[in-house]
Amino acid sequence: MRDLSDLELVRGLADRDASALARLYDRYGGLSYSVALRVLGDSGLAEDTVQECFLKVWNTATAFDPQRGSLRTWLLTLVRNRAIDKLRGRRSRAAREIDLAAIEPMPAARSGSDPWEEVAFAAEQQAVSDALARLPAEQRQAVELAYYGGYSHREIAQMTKVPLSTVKGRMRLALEKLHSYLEGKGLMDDR
Amino acid sequence: MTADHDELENSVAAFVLGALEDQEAEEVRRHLETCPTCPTLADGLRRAVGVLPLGVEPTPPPADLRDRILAAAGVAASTPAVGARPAVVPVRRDTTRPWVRWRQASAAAAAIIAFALGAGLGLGIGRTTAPPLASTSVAQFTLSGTGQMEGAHGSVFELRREGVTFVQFSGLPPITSDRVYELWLIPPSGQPVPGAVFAPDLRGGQVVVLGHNLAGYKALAVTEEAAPSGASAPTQQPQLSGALG
Repeated sequence: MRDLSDLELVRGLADRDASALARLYDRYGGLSYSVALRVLGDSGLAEDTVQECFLKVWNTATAFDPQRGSLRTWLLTLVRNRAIDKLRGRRSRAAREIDLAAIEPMPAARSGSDPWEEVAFAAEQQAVSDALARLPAEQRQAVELAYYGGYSHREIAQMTKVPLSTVKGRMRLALEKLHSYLEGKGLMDDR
Repeated sequence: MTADHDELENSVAAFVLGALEDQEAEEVRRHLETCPTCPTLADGLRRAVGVLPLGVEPTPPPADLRDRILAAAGVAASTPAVGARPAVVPVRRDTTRPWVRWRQASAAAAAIIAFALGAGLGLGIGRTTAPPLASTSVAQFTLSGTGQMEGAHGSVFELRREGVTFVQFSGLPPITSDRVYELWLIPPSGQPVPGAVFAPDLRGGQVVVLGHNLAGYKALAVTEEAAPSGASAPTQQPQLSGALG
């Protein structure tokens, strides 16, 4: 049985290939659920979120341009945004959402038969966890309050009792350090 | 660079995180359309935001969520799960360390181990004066090294029915005392499963015994990890690996 690359999965989804949806879930269902649960803290709501997002991917796959976005990043961002919507009770596309349209393009060619894609993915997950653990607590907190809590920088400034510019600066430092740590491990090239 | 630009540049991270109010977000968006430098900054920060969810604490979803999603999509729920593991293989990492697990292997397996080791692995099971086990079925695979592990080699002997696997290593580069080699079991999809940790002997060899067969896995791989217990997930690409069948 040959593994499908994400690009091939997108094509399978666009062709309404049922096994592509199943594989998409097998590949990213666990991570999607974990993100939704982290945001919502409720397993029932998290399950609903994951189901809605996977159905959305299934129903809009024909419109998904693989040259335009990375499937993994797009899916996980969709899950995060949908979970924040539920958490904060929003229905409109507010500025609080992370811009799905700005997701960077899918890498041009990925071998679908690379048996180590899962190993690479696991290594990447570990690297991201390590990078986050290395951040000063206040920088990590600023990013996580925004990403998992959907708080604005103004709300974060009030909660943490620091000036707005400090919050912005912490977010910038955190993301720059994350980027440079992963770049040093060769993990920022084609995502 | 004007003070306004500095202010806007300092807001880019909050912008890509979706943490700006509408009006300020719109100002940054317009700025990104014209500034020669901030779009590059935004791209890099966006990549970092894109991988944030990879650092989330993993929590397995309910087992029936997959079928519910497939059913809601109007797809047959009988589509087999890629990466679903057969009952004989533990789904979750056993808290018992692998080298303790092999000591707890059944008496039958222990007898086979004694026989096979006595027969001399690498010479071929059965090439001794002791009578061969007529019902033993042994599958053999090879692990090959690349890069820094180029001279390394692994011979895998899987005794399927008896539920035990040996891997005989040779040519392993020496490692420092704060490191171990870790053997990974690779399923068709999903995370590599820790199999065993080991260190090479003085001649760069070692025999690793797993108290189970390799059903449900498609490959084995070896990485170098931190002693004494290795890692729960590989921290590097494997340079010694091989497919199973």
